[in-house]
Amino acid sequence: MRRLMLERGRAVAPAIHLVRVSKRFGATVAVSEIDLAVHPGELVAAVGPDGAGKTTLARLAAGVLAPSAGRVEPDPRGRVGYLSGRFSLYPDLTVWENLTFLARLNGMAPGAVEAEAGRLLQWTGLLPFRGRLAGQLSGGMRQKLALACAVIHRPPLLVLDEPTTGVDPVARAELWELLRHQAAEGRAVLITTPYLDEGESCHRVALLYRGRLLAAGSPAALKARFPFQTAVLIPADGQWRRRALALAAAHQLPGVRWAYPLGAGVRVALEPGLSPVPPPGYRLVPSAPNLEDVYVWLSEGDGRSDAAGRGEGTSRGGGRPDRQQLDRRWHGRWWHSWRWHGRRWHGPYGPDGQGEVPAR
Amino acid sequence: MTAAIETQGLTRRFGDFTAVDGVTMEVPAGTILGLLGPNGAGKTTLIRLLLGLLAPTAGRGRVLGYDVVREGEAIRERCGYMSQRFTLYHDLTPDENLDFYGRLYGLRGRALASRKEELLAWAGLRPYRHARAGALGGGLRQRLAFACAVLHCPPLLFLDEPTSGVDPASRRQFWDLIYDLADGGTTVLVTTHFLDEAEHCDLLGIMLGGRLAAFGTPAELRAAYAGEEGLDRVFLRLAQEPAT
Repeated sequence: MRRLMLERGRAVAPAIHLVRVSKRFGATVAVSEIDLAVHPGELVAAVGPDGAGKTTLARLAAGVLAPSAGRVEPDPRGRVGYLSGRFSLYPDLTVWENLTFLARLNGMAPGAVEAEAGRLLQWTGLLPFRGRLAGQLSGGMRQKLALACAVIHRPPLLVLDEPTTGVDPVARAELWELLRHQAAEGRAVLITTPYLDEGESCHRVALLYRGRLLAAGSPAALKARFPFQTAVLIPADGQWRRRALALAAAHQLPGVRWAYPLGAGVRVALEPGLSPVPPPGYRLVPSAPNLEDVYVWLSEGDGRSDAAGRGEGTSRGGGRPDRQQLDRRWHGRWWHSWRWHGRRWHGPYGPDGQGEVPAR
Repeated sequence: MTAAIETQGLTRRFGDFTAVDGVTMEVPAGTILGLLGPNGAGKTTLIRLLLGLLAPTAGRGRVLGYDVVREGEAIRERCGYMSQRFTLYHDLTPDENLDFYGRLYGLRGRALASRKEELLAWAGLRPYRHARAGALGGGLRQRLAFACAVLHCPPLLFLDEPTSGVDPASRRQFWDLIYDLADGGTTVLVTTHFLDEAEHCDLLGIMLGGRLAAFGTPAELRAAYAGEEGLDRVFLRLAQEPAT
């Protein structure tokens, strides 16, 4: 079964389709039954924390790793530009040498190499540094050069594993501009990143969690699935030092699902359909849900054992309030708990997200 | 309100390169200060100046009431530090890690035991106290590292990209611990590349080319530079302005 996307009335086959792929390393399941397609001209970000399976997914999509189960079609080998991790360059070759060497490795005709390399250096702004050793470039410049190396043979598919990790925000913005340009030229681009906010500017986002795909879709579609209304509770006098008070006030709001402090205010998720009145001395400013809200909502349905899992929660702090137990009974599982002052439990509670949002 | 960090024209030159250029700021105790800037903007040098590890070429500064030039030792004794690549002993349990760091800080006997219990409960590590630290998940390991960094109740805490790589739920939880400390009066200095991490801070300092290009609350900075847009716009706008 090939997934097709309609473009101007005709079906376009994906440039790459991971069909229910799994990858095991011994007893570890790095990627579990992920189904994800990237179409020509599409920029897709696979987002997740360390250990979510990002690198394994990228390597499967680039054809450098064979899946334990499922398949990758069509075979990416020979038509993929792959940027792995952060050190895929030859530090003791110059910018120019890295680029032309990679081009020849990828079988480009010598005549075409020079012109294309010059064009790419112009495009990435690296032309003034063409004689510099790659090992002496800054992190951002190194990533731009690595990107140029990955696209010099004009592959229809581009797979980049965490190209923006550790790169400073300015260089990161420039790199994203280059990636958007690659997609606009008709390439299928799959990028992995630990930064959820980077997913916002992609056509589609795949949320990864512990080797599983929580959900995939456009950022707007994913956020539209978030079932609660989100807002920020801010002290009316702008006194940001009363965080504990603001948090306590947030928990008094009717229909509050969760609340957590964020800088000056407290971010809350409320039952939909209510028009809550903020407590005296506070303002309630509507704030759109973000991908982090969606991610936390979906991943917390997982009955996690790592941070604040069930086992931990029961033994942490003192007695839990009844409301939480009620919620737990109600939803079968409970979310996440944030401890605050005075050995009291305040928790963001939510429904079981597992399986509720099918991938794509 | 007393200032935890107070600098006036703090400057450090290396030859003809000015790494930190006339930084003036005042950070009240109990504040979470986020320090942002690209690599080479002077963040690390500024921190080394604040810790008294480097002498300023010009200007002066007081940290926790101590002079950065003459009383660096006293400052460093009162600081906690946790980096992105935090150092835990993976073969030791959380219990043993805390014991080990506690002794390094000169805690002994009952004082150490009670502080340890307090921190294990606070960071939600009690159920895992006898597991190998290396076998814990990223979020838990990070909270353990955080507990180790605050064992000696430091009034000033330096965190270097504290939440990169952990999942969003653990990240929110981790920030909860930071807020808890700040509410208790601890001053926290966070250096980060992570612009949404910066949203969590009370005050932000954006460093560019050694200068403190902007300083204020996230809301103030947004209002001054980017309207209702995100902090990344603030950052880019500042970075694209020609240096004056």
